Amino acid sequence: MANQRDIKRRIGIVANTQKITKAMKLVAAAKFAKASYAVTSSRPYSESFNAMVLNLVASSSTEIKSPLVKSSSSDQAEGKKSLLVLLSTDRGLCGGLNSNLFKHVQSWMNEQNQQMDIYAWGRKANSWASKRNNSVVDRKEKLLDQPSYASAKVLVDQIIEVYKSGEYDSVYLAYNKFINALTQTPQVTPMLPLSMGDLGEGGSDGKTDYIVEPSFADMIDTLIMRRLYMMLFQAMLEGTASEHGSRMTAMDSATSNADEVRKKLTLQYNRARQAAITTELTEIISGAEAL
Amino acid sequence: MAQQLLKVEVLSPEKPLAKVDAVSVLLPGAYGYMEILPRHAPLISELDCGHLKLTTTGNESSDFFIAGGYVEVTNNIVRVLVDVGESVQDIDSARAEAALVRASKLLSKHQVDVDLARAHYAKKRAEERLALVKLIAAHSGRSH
Repeated sequence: MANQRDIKRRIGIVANTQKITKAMKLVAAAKFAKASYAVTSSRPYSESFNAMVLNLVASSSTEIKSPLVKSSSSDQAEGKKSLLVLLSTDRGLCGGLNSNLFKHVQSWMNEQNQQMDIYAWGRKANSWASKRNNSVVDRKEKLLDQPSYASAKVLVDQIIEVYKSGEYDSVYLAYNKFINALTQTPQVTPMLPLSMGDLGEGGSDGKTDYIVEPSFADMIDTLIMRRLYMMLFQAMLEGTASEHGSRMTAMDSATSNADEVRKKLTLQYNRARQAAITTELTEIISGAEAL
Repeated sequence: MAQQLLKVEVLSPEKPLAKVDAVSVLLPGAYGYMEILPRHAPLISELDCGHLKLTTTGNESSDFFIAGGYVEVTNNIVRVLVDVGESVQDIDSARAEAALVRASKLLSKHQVDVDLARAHYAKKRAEERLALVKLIAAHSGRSH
């Protein structure tokens, strides 16, 4: 049986750990409140924007000649690579958030019979991707610290430039979609090209004949670009909210686990103490009897 | 027959600004101000900066300043997606005036390294904001 001093020391260690997890939970809760407000208030905009662009593209009677749009007629080019932008957190201790994302991405990649290059954005994505056979083309960190539209724009411009160079025939974005503090679902969404095939997906009634001002040709490129900016920005907000939400839940359960362990150890400690007292008493009594 | 209403949503990337049933929507389109009434044809238009006015039944209106964005009209649903938007009450006149002074100064210098389009746009935004504050103030002054 462990002696009293050992148990006492372990109680101290658990209590210290609990202090840390509790503090982390409080910090995460504060950040989470901010992040979840940001993500829920920008979601209507980004969804409506997405729907509008898809509606507009669907309504166009002519093929759109833009490098960012895949026409329905052209076949998929064979043997070209795809690019996966993997958006993860920088820090751990946020439950299964990142490993769920990676698992999802892994099974998704297994379904695609195409070579994938990876943009590892986030330190966790970085270390995961390094262990794999895919070539990691770009590494970035600290994207989720303070997501901003301006930074999303810079990143998307980089992606578009690479895409236009013709090295990849499609670009996908993987991130954690925020549902609530307990639930985050990993997602892989296609970013490029915008295909004429997924017409009216977000739209209400397929084809509508829009009056477009100033003109379709003037607007479509900016609209598609802005849809991408918004898409990445939204994904960054979702990732941030997921991170803090998940960390909050993880640290909360860690704190209550620590409580349990502490209770168990205290019980053990008291038992050991009692046992020691009993032994001592028996010794004294038998010593007195011997006299 | 009951009067048809427009379901209007005003959304900005930061937050939703308004969600109301309106009888008319006045907004700055690509070719100048336009008013959208129920049963408007489907439309997608770019927005300029200026005054967005939502008129609800009972002739009550809410006014916003908006700068840039898009509007989509389908089937009596109006979605106004603005880049920047604020309710008239939230306009910071002092800041707008400062911005106006700054932009005018930039434009008067005739320097090469000044982004002219941007300065013009900043100036326009500031002027529109101030004009809108004045307009609303004059309007509410008359009604009291």
